[in-house]
Amino acid sequence: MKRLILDHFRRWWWILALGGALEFKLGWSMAADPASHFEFWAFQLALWTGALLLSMDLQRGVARAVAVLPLTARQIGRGWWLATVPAPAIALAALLFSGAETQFHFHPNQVFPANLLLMASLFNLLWLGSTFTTIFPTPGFFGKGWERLLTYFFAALSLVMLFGSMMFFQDMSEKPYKCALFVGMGALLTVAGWLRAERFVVGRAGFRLAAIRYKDPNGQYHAPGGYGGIPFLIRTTFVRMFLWVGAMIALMALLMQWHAQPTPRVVAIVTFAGTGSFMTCGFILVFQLLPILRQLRLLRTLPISVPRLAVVVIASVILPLIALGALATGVAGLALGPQAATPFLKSYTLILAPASLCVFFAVWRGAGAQACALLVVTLFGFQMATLRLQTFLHVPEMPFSLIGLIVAPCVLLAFLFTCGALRHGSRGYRVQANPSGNFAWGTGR
Amino acid sequence: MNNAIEIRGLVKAYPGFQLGPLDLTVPRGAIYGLIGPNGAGKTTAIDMIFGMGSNDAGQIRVLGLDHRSDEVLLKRRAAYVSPDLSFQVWGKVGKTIRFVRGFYPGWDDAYCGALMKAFHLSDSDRVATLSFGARTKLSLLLALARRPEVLILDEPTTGLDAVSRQQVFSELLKAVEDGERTVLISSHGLSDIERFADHVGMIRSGKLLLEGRTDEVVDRYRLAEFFTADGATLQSPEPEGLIILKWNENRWHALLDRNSGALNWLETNGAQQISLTRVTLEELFVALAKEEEGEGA
Repeated sequence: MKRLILDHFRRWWWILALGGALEFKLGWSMAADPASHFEFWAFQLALWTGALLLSMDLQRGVARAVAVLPLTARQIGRGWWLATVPAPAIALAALLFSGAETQFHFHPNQVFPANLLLMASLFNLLWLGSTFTTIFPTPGFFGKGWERLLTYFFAALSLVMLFGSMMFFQDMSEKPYKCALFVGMGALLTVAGWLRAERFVVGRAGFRLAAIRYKDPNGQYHAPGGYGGIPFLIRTTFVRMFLWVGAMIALMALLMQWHAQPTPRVVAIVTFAGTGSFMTCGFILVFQLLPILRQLRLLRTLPISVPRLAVVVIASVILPLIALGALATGVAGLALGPQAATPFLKSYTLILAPASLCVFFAVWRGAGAQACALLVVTLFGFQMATLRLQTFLHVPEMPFSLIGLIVAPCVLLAFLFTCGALRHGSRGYRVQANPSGNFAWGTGR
Repeated sequence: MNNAIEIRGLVKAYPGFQLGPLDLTVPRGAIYGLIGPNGAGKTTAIDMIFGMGSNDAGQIRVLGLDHRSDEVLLKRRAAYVSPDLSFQVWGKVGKTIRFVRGFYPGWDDAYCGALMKAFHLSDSDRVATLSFGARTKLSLLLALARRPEVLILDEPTTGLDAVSRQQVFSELLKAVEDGERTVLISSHGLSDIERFADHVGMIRSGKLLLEGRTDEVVDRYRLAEFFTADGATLQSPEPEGLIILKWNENRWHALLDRNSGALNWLETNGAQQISLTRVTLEELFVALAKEEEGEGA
């Protein structure tokens, strides 16, 4: 088990080191301005130093390779749990406090935000535990009946816990009961991960053999009716993504309502629109684009021209974003008035720029770890650049004209570059691991 | 136009490896076996045909169509099969078929149904639960049911049991029996290639080593066993067409190209009791691959 844990750290040390450095910086920032919102960044760091790394390994078949070693499934599962839940949680907590301490050392007049740091460390542990329980299993491929039901239950609970905990991150003293509810959910998920880790390993290592038994050996074929081809691809993936992300946004809205934060209404709307579009985009990229890219080899052998294929791949990301943006804008406009609709429209339009560029990066570098890193950098970099631009222009919101000036060239460039990558690149056609893995949110069922 | 696939001067360079310059000719109606050691460049060459990466130089024509300017037309008439193709986004076999079928107006539903039965696949099967072999069969089914004029298969028998391999080749033979369809198959199953492919090309380190009708290629080479006088060695270097495989004191085993002057060279350089036996494609492949290892060493 010890070797397994060390092996994990040895292979991912560079991401863990980067995550550690950023956590240190986060601690510094939290000490400098405890009133700022750090929950999103804290969550991202927990995600990238925990189960996401394991997920990439699992996609590359590590479960089968390790399952034949002289270790029990329980040892493997719990070894990975230790490597991706408590170990990074302890390291992140130490770095968070170190960052804050260092900041405090240079500015001793401030109040040291010990409670906030403790809260962040606790949620780090719970986020790591929850993502382990959510990402590790393969709900579509193993388990039947209650086993599958339990997996879906944990997946749904994770979503509620992750969104909710981010909202209630700093409210422990003001809303202790609500906050405790999310802590309880996180604790349940974390413990469930420890207890179920053994089953996850068995499922991951041998799910095909388990499933083949249910196959009909005689073979059956009914000529499919209706259209196929690209319209079928767009329709299938679009509907799935629209429903999933729509449900996610609705959940966020409900949690926000329940949160009843004391911030001004306009600020709340702008924040919700920004966070919603950003998370929608991230979700679509990971659970829609990356699985589609894994089919790129197949798509390239079909009679589709390069420009058309580029449009299809970009559309697979942009269309759900446009539809969800329209829905969010419409709902906000109807429920809260036209003024509330504008931030949603702007936010969902602006996000099309990094989203389309991300498509190019993913096609260019393939659906692997490099592409994932590029997507993260692009998304976060764009968000930060937008904020800087707003500060520079002294405007609370980006004007529509500027949004248009940013989005149109980005989409056009993404299209041209994607055509080039499809035509000249070969990396995108190699089958690679991706963090969404076999998790069935974005793939067909 | 007698050739289904013509590759001329194809070059693709990667750091540490260069494919080509490669010339390859696949006659119309043939089953052409492309063989070579791992990393020889077979998949790269096939990928180039379907535009998965751009070639640095050279030309590829399939059914007279240029692989770049007539890309869509080419892909309408040629199909690609590989275990590397992933259909998981569709979830189920039936949905995968529906998607691919949409690109081909000439899709043969009756044939598709027959193949589903033969390959024990069902609409409702989950792609993720298919075995490796079953996924390859699905890939083959999707290619065959569109009735392509050219079928290009990259390692299609990897992971298949003996019965399934037989099935795959049987379907391929059926596909080419009208003499109009062509199959290019890259495989490590050399006994299958020797049995089913009427043409063969061997690629090594990115270069085409030999090409021709399978029977002619195999017939051109012989395994030679001969003796030398005690303590005597063969004059070095050996001529073109003679590859020494092993020797034990004065007993030698070599691969001999009958079209070269190697036999005469042996006779005039002290080889005695030369006996020649037919080679199999596998023996030929191993001997030529060994030569490469020797060069490498």
